[in-house]
Amino acid sequence: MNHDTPVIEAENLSKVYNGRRKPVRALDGLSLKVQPGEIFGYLGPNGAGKTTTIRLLLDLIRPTAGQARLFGLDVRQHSVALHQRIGFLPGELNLWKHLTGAQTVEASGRIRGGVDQRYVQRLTDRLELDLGLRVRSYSSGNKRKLGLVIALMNQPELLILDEASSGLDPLMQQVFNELMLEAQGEGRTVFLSSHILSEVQAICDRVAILRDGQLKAVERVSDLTHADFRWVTLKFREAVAPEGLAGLPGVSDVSAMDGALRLRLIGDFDPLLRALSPYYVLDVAVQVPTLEEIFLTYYGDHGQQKDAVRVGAAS
Amino acid sequence: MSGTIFMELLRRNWRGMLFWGAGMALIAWLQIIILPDVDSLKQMADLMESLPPIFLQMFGGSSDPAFLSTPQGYLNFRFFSLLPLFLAVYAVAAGLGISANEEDQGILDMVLSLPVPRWRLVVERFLAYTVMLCGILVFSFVGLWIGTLMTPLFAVPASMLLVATFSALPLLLAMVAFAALMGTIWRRRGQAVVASSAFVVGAYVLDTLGKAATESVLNQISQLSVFRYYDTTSILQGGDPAWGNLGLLLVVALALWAGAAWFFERRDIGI
Repeated sequence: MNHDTPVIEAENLSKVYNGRRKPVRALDGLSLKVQPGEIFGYLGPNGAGKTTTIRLLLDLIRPTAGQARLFGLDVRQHSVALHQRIGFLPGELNLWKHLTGAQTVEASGRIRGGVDQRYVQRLTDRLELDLGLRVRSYSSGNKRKLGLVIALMNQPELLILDEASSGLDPLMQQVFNELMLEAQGEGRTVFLSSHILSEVQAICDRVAILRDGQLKAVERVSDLTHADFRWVTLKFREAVAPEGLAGLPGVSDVSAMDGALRLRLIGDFDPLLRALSPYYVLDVAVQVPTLEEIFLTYYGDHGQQKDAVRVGAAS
Repeated sequence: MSGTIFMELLRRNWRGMLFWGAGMALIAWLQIIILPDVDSLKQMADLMESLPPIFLQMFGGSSDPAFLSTPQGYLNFRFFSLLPLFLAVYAVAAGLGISANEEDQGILDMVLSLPVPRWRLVVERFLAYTVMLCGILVFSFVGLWIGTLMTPLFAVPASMLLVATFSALPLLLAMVAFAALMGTIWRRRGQAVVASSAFVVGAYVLDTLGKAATESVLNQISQLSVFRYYDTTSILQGGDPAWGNLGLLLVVALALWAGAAWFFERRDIGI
């Protein structure tokens, strides 16, 4: 593989499942490239097609149409050779419950042809994971850590992680972020499916946004967060008409609600704060939008990019 | 690495093999030591002769009264006829253990993300279960053998017991392979369990009815049952095993096994 070859390449990749009543199109014509050394976020609400994409890349399921390549090789024809270069953590991690963590790591290591025990020890130390316990006794967070150890222990060239940090506490989330950045520093590639915006913002270079099985956009994280907005709720001592704040730069969707005003703010706070100076403000609550709201802001209900929002974001 | 899947399965399941082996050994041993003398054997033979043919066939009885009153005939009736039925439970569970159980539990995604081709998973696990079945049969033989050593009445050559015990292996392998095939065709374990159980019970009933109704068309249809080709009577009467029957069962097992690998290689893994 030369350095220009994408680590992940999907060409018009589609997957239709045979549903009980009618076929379900889980992925629809996905075309995507992930370059070497990237931490690539794969975002989308539940059911968007993230896990389907990952399972196609791993040759666990076969595409209805299109093709997927890893390191320039077809995922089906070269699945064994490719899996040697991949570390994988499924979204829903299930393991042999009667084995201990150590036995599970050893079993995976043996199938991979060996494992660096010192590196495993370093990983378990950092993740504060006791490998001596049986899998059935692990909490969901510890099971996640075990999955991370298995994915990382062979220092693979490509990490495919499905909802990797779900269940991790904030401290471990930080360790996870460090591990991913270290992997990137060593030239490895990370494909990270998530619906946690903060995780993506912290470590990803680019993100793909998936919705209803369709790729809506591939953006640099900085571009995505620049368009980020907040919901602001203001409580006043005396009633204030919504019209008083409408029209301010970055302010939209102003509405009265239980004696307060709720508005959507894109960009800086300063114009809003200056406009509030004539009023006596009892309380200000700022709410970060959900990822779903950002998706809708970006791409609308039907996947059409909203130019107005882009302009607002840029202003 | 070649052989790693085989070894992993043995590592995870050897205790189960010991459990089953010890159980079968105990059953085999008990069948011998509960019969104290020749008179008891004769009484047992008389009792069997008085049973309607269908009951005799159901429990593996022979139509030869003289044989029934021998230790070999007794063992054929009380142990070897039931051996594949006892171990059918293990065989079906083993077949489901090749892919269906892990697919149902959601473990298979993790396993198949490792550098191992799907066909090798089926092949190595089938071989591992074959080894474990052999282990259980060795335990069964040892139980019988110890029983014969403790009971002078049962002067049955050890080699005869060994061959008769291991003649169940091709039939059991056919059951393993059938359950494995069902596990790879259906994505739901429950469906595979139902299909495999129906196969075993159906084949047994068909064989029993066919043998009992020798003059009817059922006898012809029962040729389709895998149990028809399991025959320890010829071995215990001093003859050779029915090599043709054993070979046929092995071919069926291998065909089903190959089918399981073929289906598994080509289909989506369920979540």
